[in-house]
Amino acid sequence: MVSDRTHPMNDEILSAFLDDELPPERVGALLVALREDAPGSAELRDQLTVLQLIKDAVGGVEAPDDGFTLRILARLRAHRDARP
Amino acid sequence: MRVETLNPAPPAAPPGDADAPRAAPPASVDGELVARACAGEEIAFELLVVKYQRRAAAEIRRVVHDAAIVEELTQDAFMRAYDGLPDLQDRDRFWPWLRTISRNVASSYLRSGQNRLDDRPADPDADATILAFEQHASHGSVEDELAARQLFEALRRAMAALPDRQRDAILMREIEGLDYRSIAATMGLPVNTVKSLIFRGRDAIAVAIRPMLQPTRSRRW
Repeated sequence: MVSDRTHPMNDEILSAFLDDELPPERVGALLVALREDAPGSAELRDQLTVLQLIKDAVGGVEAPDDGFTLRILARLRAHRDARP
Repeated sequence: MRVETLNPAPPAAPPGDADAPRAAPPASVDGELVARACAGEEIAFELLVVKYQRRAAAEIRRVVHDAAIVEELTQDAFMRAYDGLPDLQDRDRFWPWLRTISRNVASSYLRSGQNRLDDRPADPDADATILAFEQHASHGSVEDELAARQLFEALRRAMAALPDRQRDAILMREIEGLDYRSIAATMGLPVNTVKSLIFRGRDAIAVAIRPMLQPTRSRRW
């Protein structure tokens, strides 16, 4: 059984990406697809985060994302904006 | 079965600081993300956060036990990593570098005398899984705790229900840390078959747990 997602950037690519098994020269296309303004990027980001959650849980770190990532990124943006 | 439709990628962006000593061209996904982050591509560092935030927090939890402090220190670790990224020589080894930063942040906190609220003894042998769950539970509501327990129980059931080869391949990847080539050699299968087994197994688990994740979609990246 596979998911019914329709985004052309398929789950096999996401899975290989998270395992560090995607050829580096193909990372750029994935980043373009993940940009906030890219069509279907919300769906793609969601699948990526779910696959990462599964990876972490199987690897021994069971922690759902309760906004943890977004809070890190918010602080990072503030940090970046405060730079001279 | 879906067909891969990925177009050829554009060449990697050049490094940002022309005066800094340059590492070899990236040989890995992480190396490529680091190179792009150094060149100002913000989403590249965001992806490093998505990939490693739980593992960084788990490293810190080995010595610090208060959930709010663990979160703050995890943020500190990523800030330090962001600032220090241009100086990372071996860009393909981002995680070992971040893990060291995370440990150092935790150790600095303990030495700083700011740990009066976190006076439980450190236990370096503590099980990271249990600690991670306890920390999450103590940081959220009773409803969140219940939802988290149900989520990971469902995840374990889905994992147990996978065909043996899918489950074996995923366990070799996540528990033993083997790369696809090593898993393929161990299982006597082509590398592409291993890649497919792992992605199909994860996809099946994702389908099983996705309904439980919908209520929290807005809290994720």
